[in-house]
Amino acid sequence: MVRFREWAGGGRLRWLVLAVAPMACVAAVPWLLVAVYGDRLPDHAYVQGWSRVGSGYAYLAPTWSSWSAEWLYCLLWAAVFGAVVWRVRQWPHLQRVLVAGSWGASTTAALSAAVGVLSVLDVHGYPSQPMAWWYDALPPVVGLCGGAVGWLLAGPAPTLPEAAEAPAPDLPARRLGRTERAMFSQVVWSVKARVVGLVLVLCAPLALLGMSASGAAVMLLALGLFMVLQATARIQIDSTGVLVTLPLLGRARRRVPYEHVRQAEIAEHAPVAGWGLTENKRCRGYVTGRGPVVILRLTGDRPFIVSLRDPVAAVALINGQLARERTTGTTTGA
Amino acid sequence: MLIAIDPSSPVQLADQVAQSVRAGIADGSIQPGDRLPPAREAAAALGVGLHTVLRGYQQLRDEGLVELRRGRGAIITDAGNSLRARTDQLARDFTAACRHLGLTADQTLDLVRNALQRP
Repeated sequence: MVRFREWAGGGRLRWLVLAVAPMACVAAVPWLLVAVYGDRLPDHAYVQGWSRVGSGYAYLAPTWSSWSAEWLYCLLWAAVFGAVVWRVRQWPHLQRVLVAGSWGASTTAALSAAVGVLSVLDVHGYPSQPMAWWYDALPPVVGLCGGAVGWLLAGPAPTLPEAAEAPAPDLPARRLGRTERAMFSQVVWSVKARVVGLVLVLCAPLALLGMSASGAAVMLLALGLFMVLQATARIQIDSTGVLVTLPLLGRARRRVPYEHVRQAEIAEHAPVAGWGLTENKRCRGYVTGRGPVVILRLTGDRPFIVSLRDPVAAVALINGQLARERTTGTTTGA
Repeated sequence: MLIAIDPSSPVQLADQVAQSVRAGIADGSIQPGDRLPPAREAAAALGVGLHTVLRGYQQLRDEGLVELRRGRGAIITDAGNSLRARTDQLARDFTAACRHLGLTADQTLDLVRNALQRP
C-alpha cells in the first residue's frame, strides 16, 4: 500500500491546479469583455437566449455589471472541481478525467460569454434579430476541443508498480505448455447504454424544437452518439495483457498489461451499473450490466473489471499466463 | 472464445486454429452468431502469419461452421448447434455402451484417457 500511495502521488498538485485554474479564470472573462467592449454594447445585457426571443422579455435582461457578477459562480465551480480532485487524490486516472472535464466546461462557459457579448456589439437598444442558432451550438462543440486540450495537458498517469507474485493457487488457471500460445476474444455490448444513447439522440431534435436551445441539442446529440458508439466493445486477452477496444469508436482502447496484474478473479455481478465504459472511484473497465465480470486485481490502481459471457475461460487464461510468466519467465513460450 | 496453438505440436498451426474453434463450439463456449476475432488481430496475438489464421478460418467455412462475410468478419453459423448436438449424442452413446458392458465410471474414463493418448 505504501508503494501505491507513492504511485498515486505523482502529479497530484499539477492536476489540482489544472482542474481549478480554468474555471476560476472563466469568472474573469465577462468582466474583461465588458471592460474591452463597454462603449460598443447596448444598455442591457441581451446575451442570453431567453432575452432575445422577443422585446417583451427585454425588461428581464440584466445590466452588464450584474450579468458579469453572475459569472462569479464559476469560482464556486472551481472550488467544487478542486474538492473533487482532492477527494479522488488516490486515483490519477479519475483526476485526469476531471481535468479534462474542467477544461471542457470552462471553454464552453468562456466561449458562451464571448459569443453572447460579440453578438450585440454596436447594437443600440434591444437587438431586433434573434440570436443565430450557432451562437448556442458553437460553445459546447469547442468545449469538446477544450476537454481534449485539458486531457493532453494532464499528461499520462504515473506508471503502476510491477507485480511479481504468481496468482493464488485456488483461482482458475489454465495449464499452458512451455510453447503454447493462446488468445481469448469476445464481443460484448451494453443494452442499457444503447437504449439511453438512442433516447438522447432522439431527444436532441425535440430539444431544438421545443426550447430553441441548440446548445443543449448538440450536447444531447454528442452524448447520445457517444453512448451508442461505446455500447459495443471487443475484449481480447493475449500474451501481453487484456485489451478493451471500442470498434465503433475507431482506435479507442484500454490496455492492461500483465506487469500490473496481480491476479484475475470472477464475480457474479459487477459492483457498478453497466453503462459500458466505467471510470469511478471503486473500479474502472467495461461493464455491460448483465452477467458475471472478470476482476483484474492490479498492483496499485483500482481493480479493472470487464463483463464477459464466458469469464471462466478468460480468468483461467490470464492466471495461466501470469503463472507461467512468473514461475518460468516465459511469456509466449518461445 | 479461446484459440490456442502450440508451435511444437506436429499438427499444423492452421489446423490447430480450426480445432480450437471446433472445441469451443462443441463445449458450448462458442455459439451461433458469435464472431471470430479478426484474422489480422488473431495472427498478431498468436504470433503466427495472417495466412495461417485465414487457412484455419477457411477450413471452418468449408465445414459450414463459419460464414465469412466481407467487411463483417467470420460468424459462427447455426451448424454449430448440430456439431454440439452430435458431440453430445456421441458421448451419450459411448457412455450407454459402457454402462451396458458393466464398466464403472472410472473404467469408462480410463478408456477415454487411453484413447486420447493414442496418436
